[in-house]
Amino acid sequence: MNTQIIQERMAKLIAAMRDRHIDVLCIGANAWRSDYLRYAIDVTLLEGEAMAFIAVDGAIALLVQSATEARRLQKEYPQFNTIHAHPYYPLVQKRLSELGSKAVSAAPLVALPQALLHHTWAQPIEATVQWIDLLMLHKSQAEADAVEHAAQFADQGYAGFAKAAKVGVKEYELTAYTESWLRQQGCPENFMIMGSGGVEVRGMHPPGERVLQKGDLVTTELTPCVDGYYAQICRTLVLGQPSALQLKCYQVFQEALVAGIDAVKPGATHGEVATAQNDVFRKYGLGEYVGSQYTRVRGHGMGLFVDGAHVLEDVKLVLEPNMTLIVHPNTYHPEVGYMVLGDTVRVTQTGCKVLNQTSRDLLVVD
Amino acid sequence: MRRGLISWSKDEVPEQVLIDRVKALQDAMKHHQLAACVAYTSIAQPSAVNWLTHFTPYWSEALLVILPSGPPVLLASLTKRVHTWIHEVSLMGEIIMAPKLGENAQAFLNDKLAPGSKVGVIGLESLPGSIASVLVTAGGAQEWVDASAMFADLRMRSDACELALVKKAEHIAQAAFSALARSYTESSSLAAALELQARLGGAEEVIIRIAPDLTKDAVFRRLEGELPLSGMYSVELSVAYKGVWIRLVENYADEATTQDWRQLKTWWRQVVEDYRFNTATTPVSFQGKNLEFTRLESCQTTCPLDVVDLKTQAANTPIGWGVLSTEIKWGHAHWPASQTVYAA
Repeated sequence: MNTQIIQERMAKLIAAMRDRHIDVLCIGANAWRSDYLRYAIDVTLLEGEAMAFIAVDGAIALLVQSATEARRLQKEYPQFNTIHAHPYYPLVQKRLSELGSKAVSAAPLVALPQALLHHTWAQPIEATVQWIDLLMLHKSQAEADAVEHAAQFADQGYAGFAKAAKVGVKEYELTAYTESWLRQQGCPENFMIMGSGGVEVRGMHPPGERVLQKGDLVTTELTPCVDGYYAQICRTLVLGQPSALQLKCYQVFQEALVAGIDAVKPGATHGEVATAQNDVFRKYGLGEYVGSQYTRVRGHGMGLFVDGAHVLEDVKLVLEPNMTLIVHPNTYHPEVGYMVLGDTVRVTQTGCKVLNQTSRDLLVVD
Repeated sequence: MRRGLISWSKDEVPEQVLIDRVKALQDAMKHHQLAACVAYTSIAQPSAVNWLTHFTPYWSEALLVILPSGPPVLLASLTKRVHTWIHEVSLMGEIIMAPKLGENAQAFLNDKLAPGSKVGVIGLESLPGSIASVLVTAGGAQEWVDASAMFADLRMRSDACELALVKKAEHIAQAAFSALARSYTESSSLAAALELQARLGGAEEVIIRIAPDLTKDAVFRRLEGELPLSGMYSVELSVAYKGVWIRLVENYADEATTQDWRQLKTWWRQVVEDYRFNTATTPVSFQGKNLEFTRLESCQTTCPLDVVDLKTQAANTPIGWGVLSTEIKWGHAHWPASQTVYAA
């Protein structure tokens, strides 16, 4: 891990605690939501829950629910006071009560269990989440560089995915080859979903047992993680020669992606990036397909969590340099089925840098 | 993250099994005078909902509501587009789009239940604050109680269907290990080979941890980047298959050390065969050497594997299966082990 990033993040966190007169910051985590813990102390959990107690003087205690994870973290992070807390909730509660009159705050709500909600926090949990979210959103040069690094993995991983996509291969076998390739590169984590088929396909999901067929559109959203930072790529390929209709429909997605990326610049909002993409669909009479019935978001922030701030027309978040996001006009097309196309971008001083290098053409796999 | 095979084979998990599990819960609810039961699911806590419905979320989170009769209802943060997929891979009643999970669940329960009704939460203590702050601690119309013990009493008994899935998961792990080359010097090559075999075997999810040098310790590390392997290392493979999780450990060393370890392997095989889910059969030593620890894990409520407190749990609930783990300092090295154990 890049020690510069770890030190930068901790310095920002401690400064923010001082500004808010917080003596101890409690960060909860579990196997799904380790992003706040990763930001604070660079720890990613594999199982169970954990809570870090970060004192304003920099001392860190880590209470861990899983015995295996506690042993691991004791070894990997000898600088922390890591304790296997069993039973977990009573021991975390006890630790909190021992803090007495100190000003203690906690985040995030999604990784704080019900058993700990009764504690009297120095400020509402939502307020703590808000300022930590801002720290995570406004990335340093080094953090944005880490996303760039992950984007290279995404490109290479997609090349492997496309190479393994063949008629007769099952969806989950295709995923297995891709995951194995990423493991070979030392990539610790990846989020991916996929789809295969024709006009009947309405979205992506985890791989099933479906066997890939000639003429299938094969979609994927590939999201490898490097040093805790995720980058994503979305692409569609066709097994065999694409039909004229598939090519025509795909052009709408290509145009929408260009429009979305053109809208990414300092001062623009996530809403404007979404609108730029959606306007292209509306121009072609496909406005119905940019709503929640057919698509979730038109992109989202990329960073320590796979699914950062959403790119939707009503989101007012203002872009600043070094913010990173994926722009993806993924949706259902009524003539050919679900198609995806998306690139991770980094906001620069004047616009943005596209981090994925993979061709945006509809990839043909014979 | 779930990124392996997720599918529902009705040969492996017949509908009737899921119907019977839900019915057993509804009977228990009646006994405990619960007007409804709620179970949370996410990647971190998927197990209760999976056991009842065969649904495992690959992403996001959801709440399952079980009423006194009828199939379970899922309130899902996942968008409506994936509802069809959820119905394909699980036995679910109505699926309701719930972007604000806590608020939407509260509205649903207020609509279905009389004020003051008692609602049980499977895993109340671990319910995420984002939901609990709305549902439980905000003081709504319902009385909230922890239904974890009630659920665990049903869950831990294990039916034949679950045991077959456990054995399949174990087979996937064994086959993945069998396909490995004899030794590796880098963790990435080993993990890539192991992950490929496990996922091709149908694993829903795979967690690989490695203790890279058993002469120093047997602490299993998370793989991030490259981890150089010594001549004596250990691999812990956790595999999920159709909602059940198992662990298996394999140790690697030179030929002479492997020979020396044979007596340990023989002893461990016997421990696993003779294990009876009580403190009397839980090993504490081998040939006079104390074990570093012994741990039994099993699925109890919402998490895939939790440590079982044999002193309190086994006396109350017969356990169908579990994962037994241990470690012993042997010669100049550590020797860890994990394997599935079954009730006789």
